[in-house]
Amino acid sequence: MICGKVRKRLSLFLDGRLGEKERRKIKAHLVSCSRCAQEEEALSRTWEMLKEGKEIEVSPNFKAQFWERVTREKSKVGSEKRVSVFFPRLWRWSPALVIMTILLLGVGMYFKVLPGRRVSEEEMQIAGRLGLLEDLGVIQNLDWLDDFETIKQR
Amino acid sequence: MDPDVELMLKFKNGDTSSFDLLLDRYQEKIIVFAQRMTGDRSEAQDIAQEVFLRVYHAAGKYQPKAKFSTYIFRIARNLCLNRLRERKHRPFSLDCPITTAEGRKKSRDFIDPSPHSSPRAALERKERQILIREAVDSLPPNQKMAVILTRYNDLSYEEASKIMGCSVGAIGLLLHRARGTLRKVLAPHCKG
Repeated sequence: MICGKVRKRLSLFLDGRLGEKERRKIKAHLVSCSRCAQEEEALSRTWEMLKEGKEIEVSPNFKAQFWERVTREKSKVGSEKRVSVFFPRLWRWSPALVIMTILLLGVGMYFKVLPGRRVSEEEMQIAGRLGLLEDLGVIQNLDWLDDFETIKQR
Repeated sequence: MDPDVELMLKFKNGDTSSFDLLLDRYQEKIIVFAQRMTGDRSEAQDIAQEVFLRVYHAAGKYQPKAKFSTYIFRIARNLCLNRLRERKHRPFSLDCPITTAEGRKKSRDFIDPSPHSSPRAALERKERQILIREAVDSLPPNQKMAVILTRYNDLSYEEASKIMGCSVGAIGLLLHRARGTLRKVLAPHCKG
């Protein structure tokens, strides 16, 4: 077997990934070729060396921290759900709410504006005397009109 | 059926204790993988928590299409790669301290010496550990992941290929290349 071909297969050889026939050929080559045998030895040692050193430790609180996080997220999701459960219902009612608001505003305007439009005979007479008939829509307060009449008389 | 898949299906049906068993079985494996990938203990614990949270929340939609270990390692792989990508965009110093799980700050090159060894032996071991870590870290990401999965997590080529989304042959090639690089760097420091 050629050295180049053997070296390309050494990694698979070391991991036991080769078929029996190929494995035997490489083994035989390693017995006869010291350079390839050295290469195989070096690869094997460096692979072993990787596991040297301190083992990675798992925090003893890992599981407790996890369940704590789950509980925290659940309560967060719960409060979000409560909000989202309330708002869609409100959203469903929103057209009715808009109509109600418009109606209330309309009624309010009616009671606020209309009394001003119900101009009494007396007001009409005063406004007529003062030449303010055209402005009656604006000046709708009898007291003001009285004041104007008083001022005019003076 | 894979016993871990069974546990996951039990959890899907409301048995919380099954998830607890999965935590017992996989917490160490996922932390080892994440720590080797990121080189940071605190970040590894954080990634592992995130991995289990994702598995926990995905239980409702869980379909056993592969071994459970493949499923959970794929999630861990994706999260680690995301973290490494994010890290590329932030300044990083080799001298910056590592935060341990207990919240202690460790210098990047500090490794606890064994209480029974001489200071000289402890120093030598410390140097070797730094050398090994740096050699593995210097590998291209896919080679590094193949090494971690097969060497540190003791997974088969088949399982590593499913986790990494490549063929079994590709894993063989990645390991062949990684071994060549590691051999050049580490062989002069091998004992014996």
